Amino acid sequence: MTDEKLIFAIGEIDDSYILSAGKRLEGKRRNRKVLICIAAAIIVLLSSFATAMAVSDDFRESILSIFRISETEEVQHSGTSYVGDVEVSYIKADDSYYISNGLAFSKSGAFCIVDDGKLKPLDTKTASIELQHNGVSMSICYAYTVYDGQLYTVELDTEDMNQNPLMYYRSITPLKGSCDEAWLCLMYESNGDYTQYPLLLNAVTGEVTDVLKGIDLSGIICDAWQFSPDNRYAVIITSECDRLVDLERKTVTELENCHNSYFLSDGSLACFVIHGQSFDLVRRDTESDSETVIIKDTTFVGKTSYGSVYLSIGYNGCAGNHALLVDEDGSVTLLDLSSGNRLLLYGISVESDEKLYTLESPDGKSILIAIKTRGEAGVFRSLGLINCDEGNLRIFDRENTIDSAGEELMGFMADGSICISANNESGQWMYVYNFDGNINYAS
Amino acid sequence: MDDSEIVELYFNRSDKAISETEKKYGAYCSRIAYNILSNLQDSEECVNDTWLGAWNSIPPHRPQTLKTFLGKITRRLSLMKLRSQNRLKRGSGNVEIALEELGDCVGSADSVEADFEEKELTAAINAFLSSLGETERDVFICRYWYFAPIAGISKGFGFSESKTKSMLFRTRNKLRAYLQEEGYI
Repeated sequence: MTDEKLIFAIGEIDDSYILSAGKRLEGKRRNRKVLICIAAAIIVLLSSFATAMAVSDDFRESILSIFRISETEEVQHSGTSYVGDVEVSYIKADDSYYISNGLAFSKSGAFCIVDDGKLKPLDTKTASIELQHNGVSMSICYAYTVYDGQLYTVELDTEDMNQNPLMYYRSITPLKGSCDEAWLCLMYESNGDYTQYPLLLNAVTGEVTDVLKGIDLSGIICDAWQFSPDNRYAVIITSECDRLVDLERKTVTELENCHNSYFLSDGSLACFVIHGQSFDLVRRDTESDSETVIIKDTTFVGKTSYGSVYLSIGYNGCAGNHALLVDEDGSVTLLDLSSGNRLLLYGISVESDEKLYTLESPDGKSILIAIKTRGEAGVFRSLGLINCDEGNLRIFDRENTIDSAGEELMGFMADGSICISANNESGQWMYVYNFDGNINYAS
Repeated sequence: MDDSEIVELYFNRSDKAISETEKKYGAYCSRIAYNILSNLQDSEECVNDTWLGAWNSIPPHRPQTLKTFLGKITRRLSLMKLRSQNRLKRGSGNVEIALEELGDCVGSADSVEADFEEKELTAAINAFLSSLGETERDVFICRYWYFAPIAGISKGFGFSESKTKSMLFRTRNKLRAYLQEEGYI
């Protein structure tokens, strides 16, 4: 067969295909066939939330354009396909892997990126340092790579981890936007309990700096640490109430009634003020100390989704800048914790037995929404991405009829795509979704 | 005038048949011809030949969809004109580039070629197209039926050019695999 023969044969294809393509070429959107834009002229707050949330007049209610892609994704064993204009790659992982802040790390010890439908290894280095802390010597071993100007690290097991009687535990978390610095967090026994202590590690040189030197933490059992975006402040989570550390002034301040606090991207603190079974989510300005109630008197995720709050997951697995609020009728509102602004996701609803997941992209410009059936073998029945700059949500339904032990949301990859992991008897799969069209051209 | 009324003009051998056809589908057919021939005069000639072709075939033929019936005639005539000018594989026009791209789907020129009826091949291509998602299919047809330039396709779909190229590349690979599986190459 010649290419000419093919060209002529293509000429006689089905009329409906020719007409459909012709309309797209003319820039005409098919009438609600592929993309349905619901001009969200609804600015109504859900009545139950209106009372429960103690609405402030300063908060702005916004509208969101929803594009529901009419095609349903049918998960495949391999290859690449499109759901509307979302490119999906189905990749079988030859090696077991997990996702570390946007890069896959294989059991064979290499960071990988997804390139043209395959996992491509990156130049991965390993490093080992000897450290002394609190009179105890230990070895720290880690793998690292720098991709697109960002450091990525993975802790590696060392022999002394199991042998050390104090059972030191370490985690290494790269600083956002840094090509060499990471928080090395040690956990050790103190006064019959476990406390954590962060050190600043230069992953490339192996140099360790104690930035907390000179700060009095005596008597405080630190369950977790989180640093502000500018690394000027830190918040210590404890079982009593949280503490705010000013690294410049070397001071520690008690945050009365605050629990599980974390920094928002604007440097303010989100704190939970708990009353029995419910809580208020409060935003606290670290400079002025002023407080604003963002969500009043609501609950964490319970047996059903209705009436629940889902906090978004941001960089490094910490809580992000948004929350999804599910009302008693299953409708969903997106809440910006910094500004207090709300977006009603009109047309999006959640069943009582379903769970919501929400992740923020590292650059903060996109928010992933995934709806999953509850249970161990649950699959994501819908996947969507909010583009914060453009104020729209693109969402589509999914079907995974491949024999699967369930799906897990792995998060945003370094290139902005989204990864879902699935396992079955044959091994491990990555499903990679590219919403933004900036995919590699292969010619 | 709607299509059924225009077709009736042909059946009644009315001299308004062609003028009404030209009024409604002149621009459409001209665009198809120009995308292939890149020459106004040649395109005009092919479009005029299209009206003649329609006049000669209606009746007895009653096209189900007049637009695509005419479009197919224009496309075929334009390609044949290009072939007669020995330009089908020379030059840097849309068709020449598209043919080069489709060359990937059919394998090397030295391979043994079976003589398939065009109808059979068209049926296979229809089956292949039905397996694609709508967007992927539309992009493929815009390129290889309409011979639209990449920039035009990107604009129509709201894609970047790299996305359009990448999508076409993947679809061509799928077509090649399909044609191999079905024994066409």
